[in-house]
Amino acid sequence: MSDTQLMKGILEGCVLGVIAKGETYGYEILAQLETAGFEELREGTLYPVLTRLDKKGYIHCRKAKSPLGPIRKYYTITLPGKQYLEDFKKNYRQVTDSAERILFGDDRAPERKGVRRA
Amino acid sequence: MIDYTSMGERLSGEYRRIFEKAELYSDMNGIHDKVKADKMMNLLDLLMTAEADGKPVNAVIGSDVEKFCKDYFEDYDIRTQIRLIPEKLYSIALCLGFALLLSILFPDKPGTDLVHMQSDFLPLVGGILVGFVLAVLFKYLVGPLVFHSKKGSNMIYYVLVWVLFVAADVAMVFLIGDRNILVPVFPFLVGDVAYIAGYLIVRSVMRYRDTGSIRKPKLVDREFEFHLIDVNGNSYPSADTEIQKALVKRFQRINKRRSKKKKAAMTTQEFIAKVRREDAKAPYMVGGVGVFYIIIIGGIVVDDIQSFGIGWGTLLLLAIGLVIYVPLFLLVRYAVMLGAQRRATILDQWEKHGVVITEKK
Repeated sequence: MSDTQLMKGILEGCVLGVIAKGETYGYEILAQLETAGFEELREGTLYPVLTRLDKKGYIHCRKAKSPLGPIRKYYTITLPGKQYLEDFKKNYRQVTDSAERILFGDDRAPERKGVRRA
Repeated sequence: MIDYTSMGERLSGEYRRIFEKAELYSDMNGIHDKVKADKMMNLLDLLMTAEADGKPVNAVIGSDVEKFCKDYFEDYDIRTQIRLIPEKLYSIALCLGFALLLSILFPDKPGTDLVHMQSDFLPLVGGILVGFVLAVLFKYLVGPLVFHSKKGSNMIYYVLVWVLFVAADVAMVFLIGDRNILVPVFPFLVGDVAYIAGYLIVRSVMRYRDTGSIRKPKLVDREFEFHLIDVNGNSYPSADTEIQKALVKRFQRINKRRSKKKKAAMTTQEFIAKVRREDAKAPYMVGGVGVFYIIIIGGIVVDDIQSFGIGWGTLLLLAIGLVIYVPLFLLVRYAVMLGAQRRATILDQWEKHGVVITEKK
């Protein structure tokens, strides 16, 4: 994915989605996002997102010594964070459905036509 | 406290170079020490993990080091900098206080009383101007040159900082010559002491509001021996981290003391009841602070009346006392009551979710 503006809009939600799966830390979040297809994401972009989510109270951060020695920040999602994530998923679905109708219309791939999401 | 600088020496090759570049970038841009320490520790963990995994450093930070640093430190924005201004002014006030103390101990004109004493402020003004010019020079010229140099190390930057500052100070001495700017010491001394005292009081009050203690929180948290679990045995996180962490630390301290005295450990329920009892005393604590200040101000005013009678000076003293007292009292009251309220909310949630503070295994 190379469109920076597009990525910025969904990054907070995606990072929260990774953290919602269980307690995790920066490097692991980067690895999971990379596996999902966010190949150009770097720690420089991720760190400010984590700081924003922490300030908003959507994630909880605890510090503990990592196996290699430095103090590591471990993140877990909070109740307000879970609520925000649910709202984000709902809004994301609405926006992408509308965008797909406009952008692809009848030229949508066969597997997309008539597909109802759960 | 873990020192990220010495631990950073365990990195090798490109990982170490990136770490040093990030540190240089933060120094060039005047990133506050607290912010810098947190971010550098985070970066250190990332780089050490990537190196251990054999992941190329470019895959973690990208190919453009400067862009990475800019993005990484981007949340050190204008709001954060404004928030840190009182602390920076406090450091300046301490230096100024030291300079004023020297002026008083070694006056230009011995025998002058404190109220009429004057001091030459030209060296201080000159030093500030020189510092400002050099800071701009380092940020926009020297720093970028060293930052983009592939062979140079950070040490060149820091050596240049010292060399140029010393050279500028020596040059300033010759430029100033016999010129001087004489200013009265007493008002500056009063203002300086008032700012330092006010800052320390406000800082203590804010710390108490946030953590329940006026002691400085550790920059890097030690790993807790205790943690929170809910009634189902799952880890219990919460958005209100600072107050919650302070409560767990308090629980840890109490039980360590009890363990040394060979007493049975306090249970979570006993701890909750103890905190509630102590917080119920908060209104009396506020009242106590109020009475304390009334006694101090009253004592000063009475002493003034006895010495000089009731006059404009006494009324002015009373007015100043009230102007200082009322906001201070309201501030202390706000912090104490808010801290107690926030703790009460958390303790209610703990009881609702059956939270227990338990030792980690």
